Amino acid sequence: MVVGGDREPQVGSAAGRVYNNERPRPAADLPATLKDHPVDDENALLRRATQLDQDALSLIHNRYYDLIYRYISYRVDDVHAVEDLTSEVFTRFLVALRARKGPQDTLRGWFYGTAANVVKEHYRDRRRSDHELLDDAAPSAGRGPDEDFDRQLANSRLRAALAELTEEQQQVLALRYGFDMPFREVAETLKKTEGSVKMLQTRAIATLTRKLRGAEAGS
Amino acid sequence: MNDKLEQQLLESLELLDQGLTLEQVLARNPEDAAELRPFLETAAQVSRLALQPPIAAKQASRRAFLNDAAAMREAQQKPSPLGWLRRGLLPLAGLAAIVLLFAVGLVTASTTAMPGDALYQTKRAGEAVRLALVRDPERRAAFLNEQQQERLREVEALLRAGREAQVTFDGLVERDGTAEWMVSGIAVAIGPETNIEGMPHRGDLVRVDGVTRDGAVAADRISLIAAALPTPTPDVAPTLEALVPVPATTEAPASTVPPTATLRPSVTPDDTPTLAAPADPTAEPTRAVPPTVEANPVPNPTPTDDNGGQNGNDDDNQNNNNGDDNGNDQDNGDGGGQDNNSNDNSDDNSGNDNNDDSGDNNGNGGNDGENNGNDNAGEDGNNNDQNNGNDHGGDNGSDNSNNSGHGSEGGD
Repeated sequence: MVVGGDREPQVGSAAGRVYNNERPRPAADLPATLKDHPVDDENALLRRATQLDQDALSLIHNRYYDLIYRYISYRVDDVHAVEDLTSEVFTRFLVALRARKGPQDTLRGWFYGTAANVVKEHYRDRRRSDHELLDDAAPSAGRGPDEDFDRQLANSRLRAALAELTEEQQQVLALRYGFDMPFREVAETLKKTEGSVKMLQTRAIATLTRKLRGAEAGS
Repeated sequence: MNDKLEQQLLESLELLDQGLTLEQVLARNPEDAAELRPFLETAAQVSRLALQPPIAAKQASRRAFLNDAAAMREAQQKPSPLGWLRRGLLPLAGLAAIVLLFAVGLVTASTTAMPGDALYQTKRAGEAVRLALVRDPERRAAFLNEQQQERLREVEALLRAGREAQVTFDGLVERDGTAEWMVSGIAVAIGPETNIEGMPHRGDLVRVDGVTRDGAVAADRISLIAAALPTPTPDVAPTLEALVPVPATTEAPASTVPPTATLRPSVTPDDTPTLAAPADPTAEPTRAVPPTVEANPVPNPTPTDDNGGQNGNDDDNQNNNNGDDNGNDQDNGDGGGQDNNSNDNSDDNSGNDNNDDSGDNNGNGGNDGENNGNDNAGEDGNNNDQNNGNDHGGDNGSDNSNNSGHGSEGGD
């Protein structure tokens, strides 16, 4: 899968930017996918990060910012919150490094876990504080000048349907498409078999499709 | 959806993942293509749904992140003859970070955060950065006092809202009954599990660690920070200069002074007494400040030394640090292995870092009897930490219990 980063989306096949035939080689400046960075490489990077090595930290920020942002954007539908929560993940990373209780397992596992926690706390805080942030919330559907109205509408319906999935299904979709994890890694992260992860994803897609078609039929 | 179709969908999604286009995948299942199409289109739409981070947000985040890291690095370096240079750089790094934090809207968003909120750590980090910018000792004292007030306000807000959260705050003992104390206007419930250290009495400055519950803070620990003296020094306008550090100078009588003689940091923000360490240069530094920010004692009205500029931070007074750094902002001094807190005087740091950051005290070291929760190096118990993305501490019975699925699951 191609992680678009700051580039324009690829115009191309009907299936969209993410699914297409191109598999470009990652350039040093492009946000690379996790698949391109084996765990050993990440461990070395983590050691340097613990020393607060500026280059290592810079590389880590580049590598993970987009992935975390995208993951959170699947789970949280408010563009300002997505930005804040993404920054929060990096703040916690520094705090963890300073307290010397930085990532003990893998860097990517740590980032995923922290992102998931930050999202969970976000929802918990919203439930607790009665004031709904609905006024400030900027729905994320269709950001960007090139999103036309139809697409915005379609995306906002999709987001609404996404929010109705089970937490597990949302996790799988957010990890697969947001965090860009291959099946094997999603399976390890969620402590499931690859087969169950694929089934979760399949059923999630099926449910979403039915909901969207039901909505269309109704309107 | 029947099983056969479901299986085909599963396989089709795998193919899409491998890079085939939608049309190619459908071409492999011509009979079912019509049925499969809407599902695959949904999949494509989902794959495109992720927001692309706006470049400005990403760059701002990166700058703030790297600046904060640079500030942390500065703080952790050994003292050098160029201490003055570092002291000059630190505020700049902090300033840049603050400007960017404001730009990203993060600081303002987090200023109302309370313990337990997602952005609470950010708030504390912001306070630490702001403090690092201030060099003038009087202003620092005012800042520290304001932060102390903020901790009190947070506790009150939590109590009003009926929220339970782990808190730590400093205040003056106004009442010390058997079951309940009053500390700076906050009810503190004493129970069988409460550790009271240092024999605090009315009028003394104490640190309370506990959980907000049922209108009071159920205290895990109350420790004496500074005992009150009978009379405040006349030349200084209301300050807590009268307070002397705990293990300190022998002539400090235990206080029988009614709270009004010394200064109580009342809850109203405008009544801001400054906290100051005693004038006696040999006295041990007081830890009269809330955690995270400064482990080190509050500045003197006449700052004696700053350790020759060694540790970049701190406006410290007195001693401290044998050149190691502590206290600078977020790091709290830690005693060589002992931890910090109240009786950390005399030694202090042999260079370890106790970061207390956001209210969690994490000390390292040997004894950590006092700090709850620290977490260091996987040794102990940690945190009561609300945040924590992760907690990976090898041993730590408590938390980590939920370390179930993910890389890190904070004790929550």
